[in-house]
Amino acid sequence: MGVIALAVIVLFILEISAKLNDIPNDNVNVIIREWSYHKFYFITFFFGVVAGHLFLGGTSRLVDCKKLGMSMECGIFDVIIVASLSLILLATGLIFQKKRTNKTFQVILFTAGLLVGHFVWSMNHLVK
Amino acid sequence: MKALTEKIVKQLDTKKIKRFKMIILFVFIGLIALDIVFVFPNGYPTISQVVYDSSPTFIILIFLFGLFVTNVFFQREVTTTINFKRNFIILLFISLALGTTGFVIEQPAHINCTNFHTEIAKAETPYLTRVLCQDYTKGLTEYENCDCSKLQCNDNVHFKKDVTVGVKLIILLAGIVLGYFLWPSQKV
Repeated sequence: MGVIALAVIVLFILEISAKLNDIPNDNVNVIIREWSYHKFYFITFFFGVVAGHLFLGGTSRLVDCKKLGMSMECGIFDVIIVASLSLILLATGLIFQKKRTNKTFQVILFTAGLLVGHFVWSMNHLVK
Repeated sequence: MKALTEKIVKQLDTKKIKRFKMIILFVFIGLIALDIVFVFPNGYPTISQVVYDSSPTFIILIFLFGLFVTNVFFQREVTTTINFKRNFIILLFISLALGTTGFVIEQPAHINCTNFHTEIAKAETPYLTRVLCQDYTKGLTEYENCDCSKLQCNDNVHFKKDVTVGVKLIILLAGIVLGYFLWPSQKV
């Protein structure tokens, strides 16, 4: 936790310096945006997943690993689904994406991620 | 002071620093990913658990996340003059209002195992707030969400008042939409 807090502080200081310096487009938000609008559009999807995971969350599982006969913890199974979807998007982006994507595509990706975070990777499940 | 600031900025104005910043960003993202993926089976609260449990006190985080998402992915560029000061004040006012609201929501300390059947319904506001029944049998940092209507109550069950998922979604969308309209970037 301390390392993360330190990383945030250092990043924050560097962000301020990037805002003040003469180099254009070196802020982290601009860098991430450029990546996500090109080959790494899985980032937008993943941010949607994080939003759904952290702030929303359904009370019942969309994919119940126990009903599928899996022996692993359902929480781990949910992470595997999210990771798999992200990796598929990463692979398709690296292989097929040649041009800059548009904003509509980004909205669709974020919404899809939000739905996955809410229905699949929820922290709001009723266990009992 | 201005000269000192300029000196520091100039020092940081190099490609090496840019590379260092990227490394920090990757470390930051990596640590969060590791925290989410590997720590939660141990029963200790993860960052995501801490953020999730911070609701409703810190529901402002949802709004700020919405603003952040817009700023990163959906920010519009405008050529017209923008009144950044006015927009900032509006966003600050909304943030402060949400920040205060989070602390105003009172926790239902009067609900216990003898009266929860009747008191939960009274404590909830339809569509706005809900009462969660959380079983802490496994320890102080780990709980299981219980269906309140089928609850087998004991001393380890805590009752927590939270805003509904619908309200959280509205706050998130409000952050995204307001960020889109009030936090554009100036096209040069």
